[in-house]
Amino acid sequence: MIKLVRTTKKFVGGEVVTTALNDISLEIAAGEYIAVTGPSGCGKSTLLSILGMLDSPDAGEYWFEGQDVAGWNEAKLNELRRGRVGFIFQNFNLIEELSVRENVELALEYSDVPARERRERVAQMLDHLGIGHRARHRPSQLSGGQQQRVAIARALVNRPAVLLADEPTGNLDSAHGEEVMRILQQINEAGTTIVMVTHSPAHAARAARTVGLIDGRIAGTAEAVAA
Amino acid sequence: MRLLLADPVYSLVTLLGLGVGLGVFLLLVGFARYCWQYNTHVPDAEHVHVIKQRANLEPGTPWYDQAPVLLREAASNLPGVVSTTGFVNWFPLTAQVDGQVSKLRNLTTLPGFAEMLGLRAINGDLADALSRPDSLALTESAARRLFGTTDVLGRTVTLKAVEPGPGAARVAAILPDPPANTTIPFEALHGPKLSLVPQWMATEAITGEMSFPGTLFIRVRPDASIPAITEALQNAVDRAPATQRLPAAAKDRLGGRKIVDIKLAPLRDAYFDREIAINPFSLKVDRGNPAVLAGLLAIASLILALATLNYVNLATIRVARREREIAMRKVLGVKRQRLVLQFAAESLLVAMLATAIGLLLAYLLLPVFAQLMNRDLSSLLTPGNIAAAVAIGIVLGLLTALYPAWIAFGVRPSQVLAGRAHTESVLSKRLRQTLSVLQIAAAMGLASFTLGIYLQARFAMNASPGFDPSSLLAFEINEGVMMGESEVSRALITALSQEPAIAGVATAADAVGRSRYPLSAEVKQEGGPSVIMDNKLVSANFFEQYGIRPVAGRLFDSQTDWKSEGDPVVINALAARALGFASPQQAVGQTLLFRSSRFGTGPQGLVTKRVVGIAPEIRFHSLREVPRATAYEVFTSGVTVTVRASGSVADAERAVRTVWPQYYPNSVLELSPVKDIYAANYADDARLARLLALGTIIAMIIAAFGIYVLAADTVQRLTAAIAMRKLFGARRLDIGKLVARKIGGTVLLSAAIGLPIAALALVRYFAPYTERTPLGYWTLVFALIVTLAVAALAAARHAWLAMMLRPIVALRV
Repeated sequence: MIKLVRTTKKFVGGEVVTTALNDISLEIAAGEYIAVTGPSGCGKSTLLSILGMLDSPDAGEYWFEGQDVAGWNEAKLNELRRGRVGFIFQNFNLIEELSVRENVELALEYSDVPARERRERVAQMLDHLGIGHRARHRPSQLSGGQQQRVAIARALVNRPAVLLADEPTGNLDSAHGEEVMRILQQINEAGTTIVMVTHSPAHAARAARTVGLIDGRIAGTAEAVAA
Repeated sequence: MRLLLADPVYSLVTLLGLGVGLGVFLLLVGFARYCWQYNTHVPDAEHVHVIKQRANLEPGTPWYDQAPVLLREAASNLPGVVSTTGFVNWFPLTAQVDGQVSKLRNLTTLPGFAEMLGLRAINGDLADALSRPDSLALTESAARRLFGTTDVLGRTVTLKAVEPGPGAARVAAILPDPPANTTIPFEALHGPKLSLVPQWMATEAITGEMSFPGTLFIRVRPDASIPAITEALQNAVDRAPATQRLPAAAKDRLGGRKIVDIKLAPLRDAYFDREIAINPFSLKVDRGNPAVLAGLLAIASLILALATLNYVNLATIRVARREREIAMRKVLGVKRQRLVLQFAAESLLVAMLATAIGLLLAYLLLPVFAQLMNRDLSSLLTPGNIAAAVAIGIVLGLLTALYPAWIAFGVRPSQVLAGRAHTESVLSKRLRQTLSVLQIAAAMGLASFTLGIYLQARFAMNASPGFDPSSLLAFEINEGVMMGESEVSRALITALSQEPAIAGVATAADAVGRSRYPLSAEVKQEGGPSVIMDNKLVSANFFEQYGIRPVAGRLFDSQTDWKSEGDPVVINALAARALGFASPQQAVGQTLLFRSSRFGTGPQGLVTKRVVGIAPEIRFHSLREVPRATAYEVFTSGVTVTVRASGSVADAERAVRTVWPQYYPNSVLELSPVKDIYAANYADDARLARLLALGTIIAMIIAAFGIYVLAADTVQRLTAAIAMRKLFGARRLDIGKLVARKIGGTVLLSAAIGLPIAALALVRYFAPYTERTPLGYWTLVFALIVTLAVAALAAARHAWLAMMLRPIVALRV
């Protein structure tokens, strides 16, 4: 489903060139659950942004569902990403001016889903994640765990093929973190491909495969033992 | 300064916004101060009063700032009166130097004039100049204009009057120019004994035996009773020989009213005295409207408030951007006083730079502004006014430091340094948004109101006066003061009539649209109601030359109606209706009883006239006045001459200019298109519209700055939301629409506030007009469209930045 072939990404800041990803090759099959780990600054987030088609590699190939998207312009990437990739973040990235329902509906706003169906899908997703009763609340009125569940609802409501999660439990206490991990597990079991960046070895162990990054290179892969 | 240089766009917006606002504020407030200081050059002006009169023999006669000159002597003996003086303006002079004739704004002064006005000669002897028959005093600018230098003591000016003939006077004193803000302007002063002044006039100026009107001033003691003085003056007029000579029948018709009403008005208020009408003896003096001045002050305050709010808004956003710096300073233990001092210093620096820009702008705009206001404002930027501007700048700097400093106090280092920026409270955000909305609302309201005034002024100027004025030119003979047919005037009219470029020449007592001889008459049918109507005196060919056709019957005919004040009369349809005729046609051929003081105040004042026809409505008055019943009489001695061009108006003008000096070599020809005369009624409106347009442009610029900042702030606040939307597939267009909705929403909210207020203001402005521009209220829509366009332009950059925002930003926030 996803394939990176000798992908490189560099950032230039004045006279300093930082190689965030260095000649990486990685293949992810549909329905896989992968954890990406590594120290700060190793390139995890850059890898995630390339996988999510938010950024383009400077060199190498990036194949998504059979198409090499490296070098595509923003509009084409946007088109491909819409409805195919979902995101969840460490700091949730919910919009404070919008209610919980509106935040979730945001993911469908730019799709072709009719308004009525949008409302139904949002309501179903919120109920599914146990936060339907909070639909009219503002994000700041929710706990951290509830906010992350809203973010997950938003990521899943357009039924993406891939879910990219950047430190999804980073801002949560262990109980709420565990709850989020359980939800991700269920999502994966339902067939969604998940790529999760995490610092937590325990959470990484919940994935089927772990990819370790050091200084922009893949340090090695460990086949996880299926539970 | 370092901060200003670090962000040049921000600094430019800040400084220009505040500087422009201050500049306009300084000009408008300076102008208001100029208006309030009219006549302050007169020593102890607070205790000087002008005597006003209203003659009641003519119905509907207005007040004049003139009174029978006999009151000067009568007032001087009253308790509480310190001194009396005045001047008469019966004797306009022209001066001739090197063959060039020019009008001289001369006053014939009465005893005590120089002392009352505190006049001191720069050179020469003023008392000598005002008392000798061969001397006069010139102002410096008059001396320069006539001789090219002020060193003219002892030199001779060739003077010419309407009558009796040329003479000369020696310059015996040079005076400083009177200030521009005076209601007593002059270029030359002389006494009644000047040899050119006819003896009877000189005697009348001193004795007032014939009750001729002059401009009289009395200085009173602070504890004097103005009502008592007024009553005594009224008694003096009532007992005057001219009053006593009136027949009893004339007095009876007054129904208990005085023949002449007298009242005193403070000289300091003369500029704002709107009830004073003009007549041929009036000085050409500008009068101000206190309501307009209050409006200008309101606009000045509004513009400064907008500029200040804009600055505070910008400064608050700057604080938001400097949260980390402020947080670090707090962590390092900065004291509150230090933080306040830092903000006060920054704000003061900005305010001082803005004040400098404002003063520079005021200096550069002053000539344009003076032209707009039709006033000599060359002395506006005095050291005192500049010092006041700097003081305003300092106060503004300190005041505008308060709110940003308060926001800075609220910065929580723990939040900011943890990366959770935007610690500005919801209340603060709402306040800033409210300020933006108010800014835009004010600009939009102002734009709508301005456009309304402009369109109405244009509409009034171009409204049909009842004839086609395009080929008509008008001028005055005998300096506009000496009614009466003369051989010279007859010869001039004959000569003009023979010019090929001129199709015809008509005369009238007054020009259409000007009311220097406001005559009225009491008219009735036998046994019918009396109607007070305007009485217009026109030559027999007036209607023919103006191309005016009758509504019924016929108009005057130069072949048959040649006799001045003869039997035939033409009335308008309003007059026919008021007299009780069912239709204009019914009035034709009817006999009317006509009473006018022109025919005498006794039984001879009642004459019979026959209606020969009905004239259409002719706009003798402005659109602010309801059309009145009017009666036209034939009059062959009018001072206003109208020339109709046979072809090109320019050719006709050339012909008049060529013929004129052959008959009036001592007079200055003031020729103008007839259209300009009635359009002058709306000159104040047009000026006001131009001034408001300037104010609107400034307000719009400031509002544009405000919208620019609002857009920047909106996009900054929406960055995460925009990134998230892009992440979920929003296109650039979607983001553009999002920003447009936010800014457009603000503009529409502003419209909901600003436009109803503008509509109310327009309703009040249009109320006095009898006819209104059909486009009046469309200005509200236009203002909204303009504001939306300005908003689109101002927000374009940040909308574009938002559209170009890369979604990867979402992962970095």
